[in-house]
Amino acid sequence: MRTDELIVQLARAAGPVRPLPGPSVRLARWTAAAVSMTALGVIVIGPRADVLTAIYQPTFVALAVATLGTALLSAAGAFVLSVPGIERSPLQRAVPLLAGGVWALVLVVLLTTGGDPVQRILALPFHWACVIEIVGLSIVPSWVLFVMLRRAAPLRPAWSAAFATLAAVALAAVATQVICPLDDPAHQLVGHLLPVALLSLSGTIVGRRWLYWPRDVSR
Amino acid sequence: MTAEQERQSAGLMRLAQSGDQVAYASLLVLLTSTTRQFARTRLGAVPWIDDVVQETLLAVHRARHTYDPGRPFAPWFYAVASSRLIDVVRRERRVTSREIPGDVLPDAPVVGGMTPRDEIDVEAIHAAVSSLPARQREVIEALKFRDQSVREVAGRLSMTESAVKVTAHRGYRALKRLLGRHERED
Repeated sequence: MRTDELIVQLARAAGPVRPLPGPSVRLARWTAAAVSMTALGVIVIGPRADVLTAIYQPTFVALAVATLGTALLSAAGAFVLSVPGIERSPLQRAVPLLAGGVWALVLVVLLTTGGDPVQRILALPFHWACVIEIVGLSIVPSWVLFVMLRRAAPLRPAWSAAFATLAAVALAAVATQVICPLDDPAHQLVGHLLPVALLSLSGTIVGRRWLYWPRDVSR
Repeated sequence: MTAEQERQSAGLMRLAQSGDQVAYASLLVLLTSTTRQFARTRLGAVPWIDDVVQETLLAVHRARHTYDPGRPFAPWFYAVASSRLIDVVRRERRVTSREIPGDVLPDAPVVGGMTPRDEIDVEAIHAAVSSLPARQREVIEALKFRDQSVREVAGRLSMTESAVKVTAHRGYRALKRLLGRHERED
């Protein structure tokens, strides 16, 4: 097809479109929906018995803030990357990873200050229940986020998929912290952070195909 | 993109988003020359510059709702154009590394009065082609059964030439799988 014919076809097919809201608006909408859904999930599963005491513990709060920060910054990164030309610097892609690093660092510091860190890690305090909760609580928020990203134009599908998955599973990890009665940093590291990292990796591999843009060019 | 082109493109895109088809056509004409220049600067005089241009125009069309009228147009447009340029370059490299021009292939050997072509199970090939997804089937039938050119197929099916090549390539892979399975069943 000649380019001038293509232009005529595209112009004929072009109806009015509503400009996509900015990343901050979309982030606010996703956060509202995802936090509500995750909170509902926590209520259904049931929070830990000592939740009212735990939320006043500085370590619990520090960990929750670091995890929530990772979730929100990752979601923000995914929304920014799904709009062409809006990313001002590659550093923006590093921010969610740095937030995840801070989360890991908080856990390592807590583990070290608690004493005998190597032995506690080697005991592999891993429980499938936490992994199942993280997966279960992240399914709907991640699906919603991926659908929102597909409506935009994710030019870097692997990055968008990575951040979208990390956002959803990190949010689910915050919720799991409210459900799981084990505050041991070794368990948080092996049973919460590690599954989040592995799930994010899987989400990147699977999700980048689903986010590949532009779709239906050849189909 | 000059400051004047930036101002003009942003204005035309705003009108295009509200459904003004004339403004949209003008924008696409303007972007055609901008994209051609952009691609030539990066790739030199390659024969598939038009593929980059057409892929970019299609991408602009699909992404036009993501342009925020409150922001500059150039970063949005060049992000789209760069992404399409990279994809087309990757595709062309892939095709170049795998394809052998027809004129350098040796003639098929004749063994016992039969060429390998005689041994091909034509019915199995037709059955496999029929089971392909509609768009792949249309493209392969046009290219291989009706001997139409990529350009002709692209025009008839309202696709870009690159898209026809990619669809055909996917179809060939699917056929290879299907025919491999068929042979094993035999």
